[in-house]
Amino acid sequence: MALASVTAIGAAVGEHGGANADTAPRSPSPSEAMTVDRQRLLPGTPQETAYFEIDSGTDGPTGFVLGGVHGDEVNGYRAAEDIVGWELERGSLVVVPWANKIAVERNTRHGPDGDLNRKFPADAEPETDLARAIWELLREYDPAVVLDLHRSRGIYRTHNKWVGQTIFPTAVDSAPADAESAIAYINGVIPRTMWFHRFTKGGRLDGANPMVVHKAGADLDTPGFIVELTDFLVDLDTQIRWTKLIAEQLLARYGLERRSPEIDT
Amino acid sequence: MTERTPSHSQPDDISPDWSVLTGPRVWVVFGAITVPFAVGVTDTRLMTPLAAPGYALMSAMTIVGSYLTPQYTFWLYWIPFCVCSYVISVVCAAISRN
Repeated sequence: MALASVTAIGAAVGEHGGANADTAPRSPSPSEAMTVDRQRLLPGTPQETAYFEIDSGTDGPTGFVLGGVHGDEVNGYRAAEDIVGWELERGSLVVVPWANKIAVERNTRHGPDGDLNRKFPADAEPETDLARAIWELLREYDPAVVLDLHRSRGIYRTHNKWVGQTIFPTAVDSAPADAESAIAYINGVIPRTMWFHRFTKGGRLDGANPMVVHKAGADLDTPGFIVELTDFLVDLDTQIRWTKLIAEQLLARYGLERRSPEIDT
Repeated sequence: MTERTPSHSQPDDISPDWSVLTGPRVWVVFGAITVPFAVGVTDTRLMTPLAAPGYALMSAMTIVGSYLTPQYTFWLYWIPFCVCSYVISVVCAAISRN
């Protein structure tokens, strides 16, 4: 079992102090059973943000988890912060909890360069420094699976234009079937009377839109998922819990099982 | 001597019966629609079957509203939700009296 190698984790909160205490980033609590390295994307720039490599010490696949690509989707970066504290049976996880740090601090969807998740065209260079840094990190680790954690106002195919309560898989290997498996699990958790909140599988991500998971599927042939919750009639703690349960299910499908699975209520 | 008998044509016979709109039956139904649902919204684990009527009503309103007025946040729907719940409560109370 590897000993903890936590590098300046505590500094995260001070560096990410948002105006609103409820939405401000929080310092993750890594497990001492894991080796956790904290690194920085775009160091020395206003968009500098932390990422964490969690290593189980046992050979295995690598997973890649993004939160805070849209800064007002709190469930995504809260779940990612908690995932930094997970213990894995094998393999490693790379977690970027606050991908768009400025947007997270402002609690806005967009950062200074607009919508970060529209800067990743397939078969082309990402369009901003931050998008390029995230993409280079993803290529460097060459993960077995990519998760991008989001939230929407309404529910997919229920409310007009909104995409909540959906898992969108890449069109790679077993990703669509893995999405269905995770959906079957999470729908067993959702209260029975919340009919409209049952998760559905979204269309396959094939590079048609300039989003990071689209690009991962199209350019790298990497299984990936956009996980979309909704804040419609769902409290934040539940959004975070459901996001983590879905992440746990999807990561496990790629050999990244947790030692202590999330306890659902 | 003749005794004067009281008149039987006093106007209070035609005064409105406000209990149709504000009586206890109205508030019992209103509470049954709104309270379990509001509790479930504050913590989704408490979204019990008792919350189903409120959940169905709010969902239906926002589904329609998302097509008609997509710019509005769903929190604004609490106002028409309460109004609709009240109207339903009055109707249910009136039916139960007859």
